[in-house]
Parts: sequence; C-alpha cells; structure tokens
Amino acid sequence: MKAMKNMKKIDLRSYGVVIGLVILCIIVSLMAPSFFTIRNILNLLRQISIVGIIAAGMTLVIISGNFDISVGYICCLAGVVTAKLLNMGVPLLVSMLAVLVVGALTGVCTGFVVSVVRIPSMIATLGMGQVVNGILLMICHGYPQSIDNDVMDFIGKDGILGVPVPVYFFLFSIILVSFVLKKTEFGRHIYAVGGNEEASRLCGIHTKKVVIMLFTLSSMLAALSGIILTARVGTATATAGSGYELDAIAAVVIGGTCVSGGEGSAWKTIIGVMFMGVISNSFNLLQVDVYFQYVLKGLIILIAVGFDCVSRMRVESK
Amino acid sequence: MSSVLEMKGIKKSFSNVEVLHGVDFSLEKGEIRALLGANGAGKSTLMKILCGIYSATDGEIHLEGKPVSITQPSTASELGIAIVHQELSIIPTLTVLQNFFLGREELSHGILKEKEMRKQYREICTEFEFDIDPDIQARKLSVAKQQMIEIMKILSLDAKIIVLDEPTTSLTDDEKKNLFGLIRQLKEREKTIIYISHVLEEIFLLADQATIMRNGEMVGTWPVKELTIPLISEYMTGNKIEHGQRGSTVQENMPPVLEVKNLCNQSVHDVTFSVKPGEVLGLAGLMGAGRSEIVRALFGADSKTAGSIQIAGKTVRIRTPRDAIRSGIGLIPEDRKTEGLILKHEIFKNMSMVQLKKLKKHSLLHEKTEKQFAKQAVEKLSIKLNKVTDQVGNLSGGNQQKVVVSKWISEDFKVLIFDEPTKGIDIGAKEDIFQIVDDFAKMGIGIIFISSDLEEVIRVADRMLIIRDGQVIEEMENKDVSQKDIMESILRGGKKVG
Repeated sequence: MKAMKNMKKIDLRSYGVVIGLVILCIIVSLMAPSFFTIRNILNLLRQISIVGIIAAGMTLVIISGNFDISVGYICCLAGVVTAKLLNMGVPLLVSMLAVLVVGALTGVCTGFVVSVVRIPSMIATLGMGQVVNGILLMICHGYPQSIDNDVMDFIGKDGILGVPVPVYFFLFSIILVSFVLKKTEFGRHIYAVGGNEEASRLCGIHTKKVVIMLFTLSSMLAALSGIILTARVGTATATAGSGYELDAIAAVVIGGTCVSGGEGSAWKTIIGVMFMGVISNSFNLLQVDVYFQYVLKGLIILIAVGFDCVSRMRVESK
Repeated sequence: MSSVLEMKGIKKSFSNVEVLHGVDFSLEKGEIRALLGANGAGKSTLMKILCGIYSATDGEIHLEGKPVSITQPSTASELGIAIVHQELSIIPTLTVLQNFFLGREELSHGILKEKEMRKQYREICTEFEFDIDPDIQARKLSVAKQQMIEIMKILSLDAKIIVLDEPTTSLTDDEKKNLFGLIRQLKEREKTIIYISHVLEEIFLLADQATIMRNGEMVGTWPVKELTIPLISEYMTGNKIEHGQRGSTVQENMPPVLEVKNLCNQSVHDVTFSVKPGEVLGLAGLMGAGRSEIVRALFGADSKTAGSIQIAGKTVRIRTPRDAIRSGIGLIPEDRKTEGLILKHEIFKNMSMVQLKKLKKHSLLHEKTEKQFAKQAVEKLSIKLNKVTDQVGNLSGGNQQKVVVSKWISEDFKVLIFDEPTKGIDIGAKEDIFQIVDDFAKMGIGIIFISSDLEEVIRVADRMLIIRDGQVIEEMENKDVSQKDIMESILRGGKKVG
C-alpha cells in the first residue's frame, strides 16, 4: 500500500512538469500565434541546445549529490581556446579535441578536490570557476576572438534535414548521459554514491573514482557547449557563457531530478530545459520585460524544489 | 528516609512492541543509585521517560509525593530532573560561558547581560571549587572538563535528581577521581544521583544501592554491600531457558580461512584471532566495547595502524572495503539504514551492488539478469516483498536486513562478517537470520558474528571472543557456556584468577 502511494507521488512529480509544459505551450500559442510556427520552434530548439548540453552533464553531477558552478566558465574558456587555436591555423578537429581535453582536465581537478580533499562541491567549483575565469582572461585579455571557419559556420548556423546542427549535439549529449546512467556500471555507481556514499563504499565501489569521472564527463560536455556557442555566435568572448551554469542547474532541478542525490534521469532534464526555453521564448514573443523574466525563472525554481522538499517532509513524518 | 521519586507501573511500547513491562522504580533522597542491566534491558528507555524524552505508554510518576506528568524535556528540567548524556551537549565552538548560559541567557531588553552572567558563573565556581576559564572555547577543553561544565550547568538549574549515563567512558583515572569527588559532594548537598555504568568497580566504590533491570522488567534493588560480581551477572542475565545450540559445522582439519594478527588502530588494540572454514566466531561484549571497530578495521572501512591479515594462508593488503571484497571478505554492517542500503533505490539494485560486474552482459548493465539474481535471493532468504522493483525503504526491518545479506550470496566470499544482524528485527526474521548464518557456515564460509544479545551469541557461535575496550580479553569454546559466564567475564575484565 505504502509502496503504491510512493509510486504515485513520484509519477505525479514527473508528470507535473510535463503537464505544466503542455499547459504553458497552449497558453503561449493562444496569446502569441507566432509561437507554434516551425520557424519559431526550430529557433527555440537552437536556443536551448547550448544550455541543454551543459544541463546533460549537470544531471550526472546532481544525481551524485553534488553541484558544479564552474561549467559556465569552462564553456567560455572552451569557446575562447577554440577561436585562438583556429586563428593560429590549427585544424578544426585538432582544436576541438584539444578543447575537450582542456575540459576533461578541469573536470579531473574538480573531481579531485571534491572527492579526495573533500571540499563541498559548491565551494570547490566556486573556486575552480574563478581559476578557469582567470586563465580565460589571461588568454584573451578580455578581447573578443572572431573566427572564420566554414565548418564552424555550418555547425552554428546551418541545419541537417531542416533541424539546426546544435540540436543534434544536444540530443547526442542527452543520449550519451542517458546511456551512461542506464546502461553502464559507472552510471549505476553515480546513483549509488548520490543515494548513500558510505553504503556504496562498503559495497566496494571506488567512490572517489566515480566522482572524478563524473565531473570529468560533465566538464567535457561544458567544453563541447562552448565550441557550439562560438560556432553559433561566430565570436568567442570571455563572458558569452557566464550564467549558463545556473540555467543548467535550474533546468535539471525543474525537470525533477532530486537535489539530494540518488535519483533523476537525462530525460527529465530535457523537459526541464524545454520548460526554461519556452518561458524565455514566449516572453520574447510577448515582449515581457527581460528583468521580470529573471523573477519568474527564480520563482519557478523555488516552486519546483519546494514541491520536492515538502513532499519529502510528509513522507518522513509518516 | 523519604522517597523523592516514585515511578509506578511504567510501560512503554514502540510501534506495538512493548519494551518496558510495567516497571516500578523509586529513589530515596540524597542517595547514589546504580542502574544496571545488559543492552536492551530498558534502563535508558526508563531514564528517557523520566527526563521527558519519551512519554510512557502507561504508568505514573510521583515527585516528592506529588503526581507529575513529564511530557517533554523542558518539564523535566523545570521539575529539577536532569540528565548528563554520554554524548555531551556542549557546542564546541562556543566559549565556556556561552555554553553555560545557552538557551537561558540573562537579558535586558534583548541585550546580553555579560557581567551578570560572569558573576553567576564565578559564584558556582567558588561553591564547587572548580576553576575553568569562562572565555576559553569549549573544544579546547578535555572531555572531562566539558563534562564538568555540563554538570555545573545542571546544578545551576537547581536540579534535584541527576542522571549520569556512563559518565566515565572517556575519562582518565585522575579525571574519574575528580568526578567521583564531585558526585560525593552532590550527595552531601542532598542531591539524588542515578548512575548508569558497566564498570562494576565504580559502582562498588560509589553507589549506595543498585537496581538491576532485565528485558524491560525490574529484577530488584539491593544495597551494594550485599552484591558480588557473580550475583550481579546472574541477576542481569537471568536463568532463561536457552535455545538449543547450533550444530557445529567447523571443518576442524582445515587450516584457518582467516587469520588476523596484531590488528591495531585508534580504538582497536592488538587484536589477534583466526577463523576456520565453516566456523562461526562470536564477538561478545557490551555496546561500545569495540566489536564493530575491530571488524571495520579488518574490512578496511576504518584505517588501521598495524596488523596483518591472511586469507586462506595468503597475506592480503586491505586498505579499503574494495580490497577486502576482492580478497573474499564480506560485511553486513551494523546500521543497515546508513551503511547497508540505499533506501530510496529499488530492491534489486541494492542486491546487485556488490556483484554488479558479474551480472553484466556485453559489458553493459542488464537489468533482467539483475532481477533474476534478486529473485533467486528472495527465494533463498525467504524475503517477503511484492516486487523486486519496489523501494527497499518500504520493507520491514527484517526484510531490509535480508536484502543486505543477499548482496553477499556468492561463491567468491570466504569470510562473512555479521555485525549486529538481528538489531531491531522481529523474532521470525531473527530465526531466519540464524538459519542463513548456518547455511553459509555449511558452505564452508568462515563467519564472524556480532551481537549484543548474549543468548544469540551462545546459540550461533562455535567459539567466542569476549571484547572490552577494543581488546580481546578472553576466548571461550562454546561448550556449556552460560550467559552468566560471559557477563561475568565482561564485567570482571577477563578470566577468573586462581
């Protein structure tokens, strides 16, 4: 009986967001007829792809019971380094690989300070973020780096079968993360560490390695998003991706992945990312004050997490 | 003498299980009363009722002849009843003075009256001849001094009845003497003391009378002068009819499957023992004796400073639980909720945690295989559940414990450690656990079995080690051993001399 009730509660929570998203879409399309046009939908998808890639990685981090607020800076760094390398005449593929390696290295460092030095991830990534930001500014001295590369143009501005290229990268990230979580031992261990780290350790799980690996993967995805961002804008700046970490966390949380760790999925994150995207998009269509958008986004995050916390309290007090 | 406190017919149930069966307890003014009993006898439950932490299901409490109802801790302290817990409630980062007045600061218009509080503190200091700098941070003091502050704080609240719960566990000999001095001083001032301890020497030295409890019932109260260690052991354990002992499955002619030599760390001192295939080695001792610490060090869950471990004759290096599992050691940890399970995950995922590698297909997870493994385990251990995809947190305690055990069903394990596997589970599930232990032993696995319930140890073990203060104080073959023998060994601190 109790188990059944629990199941219902969880379903309500994840359906809640989907239902909310549908209702939101209906309201917006009634108010702004241009919302449900193919052009706008594709535009919306392109807009959410970059934060979406970061959010895919953030899903891993949050399921493990951690946060990563350095990914926004990693995204910027990746963009600037890509542009620099391309402008130095390094071939695109080599540049991209180099940037992914840079992302991976930052992730290894973050994972190390979180799991071995045991600095709470919020603070560890606050520090790492500043380090990355500093290096980034040292590299570009604050000047924008414009690029001139056909393939990058294609990635940023063209589409395949009518769908913008960044969307494919977003889908790839979600599928990758979902595969890792559902199908690999590493993924199961991420859930385990987030659910109960001590029990995991006593079961012989190498908890430190798991944490280092997941931060590495998340940072690599952040670096990938930086490349796509630069491709889209055509110019890399030191601040282009700042704030994306918060949007990514918001998307994961709104999607229904539990902030206390051990639960969640990549598919929930898609919903969360779409939700955030539709809100921004519709506000632009309806010409709502940009500043008010922040207020509303903040409230939605509080409502989503508040809902979780309250229902957990009820379960515990039973 | 007048009785200052009378508790009559106190009953207490936790979720329909009665743990106190109508207990009478009375205290005379100005006495030092020892309260004795094995783990689970009900002494701490009784004290928690007295101090308002629990409320009794039935029964009445009279204080100085008047009936009182103590429903919460604040009522108890208003009535002059105070408890000093084993874990002190001092906040380490605050100063002595801040701790002393915590929650009852002297205020004028919402502003702290620093001078007034200092004056009061100094008065108490002179009265009881103790001297601790009020501005020092509490964490910089020794445990003994922190304890003093807590006792002083209670005294400044004008407590009449003071409960001291195992106050000497982390004190040095000198500190103990100081504490005893203070307790005698309190007695002179007509304070009544309830003193809980497992160290009988202290009780013989300090207490006027001793009350002994067993299985949630009162055995009786005697002047300490009339008691001896054998007598106390007998009262504490009773003459219960004991279950038949498990038939031995030791493979006597085989070399030991596990040999531990000179195992040491912070709380484990030079522990050496061995286990043969099919043997169940019981570790007996009271709570906090260091049994769990020994097996955790062995398993690599805690670090060790010295010691060598051999599995089936081969020396192995165990620094993490991972190493231990690779060498063939499994652990069913003491606290299934915080160490054994991931409560919000599905049952089958909990079961497959240890052996996930073997349940994969084409190097990917394969939930079907995992569920098959889980279903086999459910059958083998007769676990009661609906679906293996339910959350493990919704199972009853006994079934949760079986889920923890099921992780270790494999031919790879040569040694299994059961740390308090029967804690908080019902009788039926307990019997099942004994059966499981027996089954594992029959397979030739060496088993280490820890329980605070001596009866269980006698039932299950082939041989036992008596543990106290992180040391092995005696080794016993389990032949015609009674609970009283074990309790006597624990209380005496080793073998009888002469």
